[in-house]
Amino acid sequence: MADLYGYTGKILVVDLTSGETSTLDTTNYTDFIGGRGMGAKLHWDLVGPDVKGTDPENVLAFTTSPTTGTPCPGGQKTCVTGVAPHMYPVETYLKSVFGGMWGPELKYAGWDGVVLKGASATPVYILIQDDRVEIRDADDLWGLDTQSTERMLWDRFDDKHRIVTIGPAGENLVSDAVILSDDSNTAGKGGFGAVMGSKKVKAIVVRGTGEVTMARPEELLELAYESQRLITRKETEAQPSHPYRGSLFGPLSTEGNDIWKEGQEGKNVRTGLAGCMMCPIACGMSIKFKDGYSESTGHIMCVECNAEPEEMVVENENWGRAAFSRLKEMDKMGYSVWSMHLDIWPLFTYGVLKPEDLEIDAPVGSKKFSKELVRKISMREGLGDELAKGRAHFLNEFIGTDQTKLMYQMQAVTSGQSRLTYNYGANFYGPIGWVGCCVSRGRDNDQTWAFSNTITDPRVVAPGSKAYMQLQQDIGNMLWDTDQGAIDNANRVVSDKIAPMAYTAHNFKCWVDTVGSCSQFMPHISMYSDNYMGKWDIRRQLVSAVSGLDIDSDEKENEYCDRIWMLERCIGARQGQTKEDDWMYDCIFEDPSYKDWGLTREGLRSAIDQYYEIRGIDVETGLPRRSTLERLGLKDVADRMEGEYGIALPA
Amino acid sequence: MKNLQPITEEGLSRRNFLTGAGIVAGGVAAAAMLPNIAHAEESVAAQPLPGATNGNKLWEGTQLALGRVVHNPDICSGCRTCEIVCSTFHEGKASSYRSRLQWDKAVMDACITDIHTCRQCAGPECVAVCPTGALSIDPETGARVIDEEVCVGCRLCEGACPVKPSMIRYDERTSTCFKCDLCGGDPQCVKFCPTGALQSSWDIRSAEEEDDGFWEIEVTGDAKTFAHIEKPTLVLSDVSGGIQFDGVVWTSHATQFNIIMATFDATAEAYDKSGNSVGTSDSSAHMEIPEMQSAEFSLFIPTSAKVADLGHMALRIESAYITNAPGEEAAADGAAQTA
Ligand code: SF4
Ligand code: SF4
Ligand code: SF4
Ligand code: SF4
Repeated sequence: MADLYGYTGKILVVDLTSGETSTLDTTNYTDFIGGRGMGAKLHWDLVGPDVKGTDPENVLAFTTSPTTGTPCPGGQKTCVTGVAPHMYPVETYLKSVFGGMWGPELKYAGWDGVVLKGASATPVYILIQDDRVEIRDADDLWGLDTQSTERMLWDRFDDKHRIVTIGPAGENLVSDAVILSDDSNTAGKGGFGAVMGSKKVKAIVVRGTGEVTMARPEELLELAYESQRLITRKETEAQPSHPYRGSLFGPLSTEGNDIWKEGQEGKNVRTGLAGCMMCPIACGMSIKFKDGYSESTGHIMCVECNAEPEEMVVENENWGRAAFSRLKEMDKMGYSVWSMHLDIWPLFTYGVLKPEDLEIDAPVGSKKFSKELVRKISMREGLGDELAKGRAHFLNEFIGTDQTKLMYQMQAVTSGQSRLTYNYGANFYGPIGWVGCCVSRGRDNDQTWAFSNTITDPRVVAPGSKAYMQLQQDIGNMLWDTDQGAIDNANRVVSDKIAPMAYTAHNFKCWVDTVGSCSQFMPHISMYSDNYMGKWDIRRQLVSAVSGLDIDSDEKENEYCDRIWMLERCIGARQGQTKEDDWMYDCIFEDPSYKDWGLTREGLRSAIDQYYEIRGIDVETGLPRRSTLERLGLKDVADRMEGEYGIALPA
Repeated sequence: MKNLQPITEEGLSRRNFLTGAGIVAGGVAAAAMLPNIAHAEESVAAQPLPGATNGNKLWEGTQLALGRVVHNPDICSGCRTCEIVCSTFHEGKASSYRSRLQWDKAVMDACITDIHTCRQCAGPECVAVCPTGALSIDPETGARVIDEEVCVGCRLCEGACPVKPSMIRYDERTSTCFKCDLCGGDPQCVKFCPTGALQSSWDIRSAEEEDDGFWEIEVTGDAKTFAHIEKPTLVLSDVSGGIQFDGVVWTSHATQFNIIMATFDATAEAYDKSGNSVGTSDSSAHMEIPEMQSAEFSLFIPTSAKVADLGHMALRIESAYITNAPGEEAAADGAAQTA
């Protein structure tokens, strides 16, 4: 066997039912690289189709990639996969990622991933110190908020240990519960905190003293430096007026926000950056006030981890103390900030719910209200118990009037919980965004983000500007030998140029998730080079320098992404996903509030059919073709689809 | 001459203006190319070098290192790139355990990260204590380095290092100690630090010729806090009775400076084109610069010479420290300042 670079070679399997641990050989998964790909393969191998999120049969996999732990910028994220309790109406397979430093520490400890199987009868936490793995009693931790849990564990071990943990929301199987790491990096999609809670695992504590090997370390350092320079400049080089000083965003010095004002009033705040491992961007912000109160936002560009809480907007708080304390309450409870922002708050702003309904004696928008609301849902108190099942359940089943069902469908477009929904960027990004409803897995509202990341970056170039369009055209010419698609997309014309762009964008996102990259790490768009064009190839060159894998062309990269994407499609198909799921709610076509989208049923149908053709999916059924699976080396998957699940695959 | 980049309206209106006043006079006139060492006791050196500051004669004649790697926690993102690049550069493997620098990230305290680096002491206790000669001074860079082939892993050096945590690390697997070697003069941690929080002290200090060859600017003191000072922009003008420097500096953090008129050789500050001294001054300016602002300063040399006569002029920023953060370090620097 060739030397294995980047990987540690083994995946830890913890069977919580039996209390036993075992290992899997990573080489069986390298065709799927890591992260999202490795997670999908583990899920396919270890879980059956009729499993619910919180069933013991569900498997919660934490997967890293070869670049995790190496000096590869934007290659450090950990992917979490499993059946997601948040999904509606069917709990489907999903992935979520989180940044921070936990994944790299796991690699240094000698593991490429951790798989949690079964369920413990009593609360436990898992301690991983290099080869030493222990399942330990967590009676004293159960019930604590995330911060107290981490503090206790850091007291017990040392603060070089990295931790993932759940809060009361996860313990109580709330469908919006997150898995939180360190300050506030969270795997926020899908309610994986509840999956961890169902297995009675309070935390996984990791410390590693080992190393990660690299195939070509010198080349990696060169590429790392080059990609860093495409994205950022050191604060010491930048000019005072430069918007991207130090990092993409700079410390919280933006004039006008409440933190800035407090600093100006002499209250002496310290603001800083908080970055994931090796990140040149450092999208997290941290603040320390003179009175000792400190707070950090988590990594705000991680769409799965944080959002401006809706309360903040309502209360006109502009990144001040109040806004941060609201965020902290959700972090402590282990409840998703995005769910609060997009799912729960609209129930109040649209008058579906009032504070009295939850027996909260404080007006909407008050700090007390925010705190009580997240606590009641996390502790499942009163009506909080129904909200804990998720917004879809609440509007469709608990209230269940035609009106609330329609409200769900219309607003689901912004939040995304069912397969028939997708990202709120869909409108902004036009037809390519629409094709984002062809997802390989459930609630995939980040596939439209993928488009934004592939072809342009609104932070580097102002949307609507001439340069913005020019960049899209330049990238169009680079990737598809034509800029017509970008032009059609901007004009909201569904031409035959749209589906190929959607395909590339989805594969780009697949790649990013699979190599543990951050979707903000985009060295192919650079504000420090001519026409904003960076280097498209550098992402895969980085991975190749670490792993030694031969990935030097779009074709080779696409082969990996196609394989992963198609495997996810098979996981979906065995859970009952069909062609009908690649669509949108009727209200999108009919409700006048969507008419400016310019979206028609015919337009969407033609783009989706073309997309199917590109992917090798059968246009009639929406199922993967056997020939496609075989071409991608997934013959065993095709056989299992037909033999075990009785799903006849078109040739 | 390079113009200072435009700053905000806000910044302009808040500029500090001050005129040179003799605050720190001693130890300035004879400032050498490597400050803080020869004159450590008299000067306001804010970077005490163990062994040198306490007048220890043992270290006289010991080759100084090029400098050290310094860290500014205020803009550090805690990304640990420095740490992993260090081991990758030396061992070709990514490992926190094998990093020569160490990090502390207060995750629950606004993620404030400290990076601990070897001070490359003027009087290196680690070198003194090593019984095998494994620890020596690299003649090229002056870095205090360990030859891991010779090291027997007695760990005496680890205990001798006055820095906490010890800047000597011990690898249980190889049973040897290892430490920062300044990467042979091109510190990789500095190169890769995406925010600029890590700097090579000698880069910050080195004098640079302006385009017209007229100026030399030297920044000394606790280089850690200098990470965000832009090189001052200077304008000279003839005024009655002498020549006046007007300058502007910018910093990203609230900072205190001593701007000191000094030359690189003994007494005179201003030379004419044939190298003759035309004026001296021991005046200095002590000033505070608010965060993200620029500050103006002005200094005066009593001389009968005119600007047009001058061939060479030197300005030196003697010391600086961050006034409002972070906690202890600032306090320590402050103590050095007033001592
Ligand atoms: S551990 Fe090695 S380098 Fe350190 S004192 Fe002993 S022999 Fe010298
Ligand atoms: S290891 Fe310690 S004693 Fe030796 S030079 Fe570095 S800081 Fe000084
Ligand atoms: S200068 Fe080189 S050896 Fe020293 S800490 Fe930095 S990277 Fe490591
Ligand atoms: S590389 Fe720079 S920003 Fe990152 S942890 Fe090190 S000093 Fe801080």
